[in-house]
Amino acid sequence: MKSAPAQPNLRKAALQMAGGGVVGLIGALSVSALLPEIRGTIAPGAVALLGVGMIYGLIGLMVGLGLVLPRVGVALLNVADREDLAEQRAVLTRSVITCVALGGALMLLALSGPTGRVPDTLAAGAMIAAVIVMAAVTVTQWPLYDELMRGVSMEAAAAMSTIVSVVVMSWAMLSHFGRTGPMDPLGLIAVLAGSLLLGTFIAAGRRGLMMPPQ
Amino acid sequence: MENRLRELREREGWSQGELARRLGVSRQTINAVETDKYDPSLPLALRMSRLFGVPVPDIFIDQWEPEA
Repeated sequence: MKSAPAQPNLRKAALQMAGGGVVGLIGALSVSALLPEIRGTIAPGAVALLGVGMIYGLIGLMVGLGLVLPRVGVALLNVADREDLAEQRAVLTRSVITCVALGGALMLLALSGPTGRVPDTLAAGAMIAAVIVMAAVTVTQWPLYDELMRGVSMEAAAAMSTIVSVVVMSWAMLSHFGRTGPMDPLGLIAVLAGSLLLGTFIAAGRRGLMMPPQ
Repeated sequence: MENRLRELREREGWSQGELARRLGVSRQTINAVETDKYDPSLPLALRMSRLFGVPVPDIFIDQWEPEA
């Protein structure tokens, strides 16, 4: 006999959705506020990259806040209680480091270049550092993962690969037909970074990791 | 795949975290299995079977029938 399905914690789900909404709103408002300042000085791809970088940064800050303030963390993050949060601390801390490093580097890169306000050397250094941090986190995080998280990581990579293929091939085809301009370098990085984020959300959602514990 | 993991866990009076600790996996894995979002590996299914003292087919319900 199968047990009756447990009810999801709707209050927590609503809190998490509200938190996500606030993060998205802050990101959109921040990019909008910056647009008049940078209009005409950076390419359209850079605007997209700025938005993706902000989303990474805000996610990192939100998870970091949850780690620093466990009460907030239990309410906002996908953990059952403080004990669960403590057990997930090592993995979540690495996620925060990755998101903040990558998000910051993407934003600096978006604001650099011939007409940008950020020195190229600073943006390049931040990107190199972010890539090194991502590689180091991936290597050190893998042994901490159990079979579910390893599966989710691989599914996220597969989803990212599919999204990138569809977007880049469609864009290249339209550009070949003269229907759109060529993809600018920062636009390509925005597609890659954005697809990684989207792929992770898709893989995590399929395994129920976007919903609170039952 | 449908399963009776939650029923078996609750019968023992364990939380998801407690069962996760006993099986050496994360609490998220237990939650994903209980909500039919994830089918565990064979080694993990065998560990569940030994822990609860019931055969794997009594935990995981597969509707498949071989063709006659």
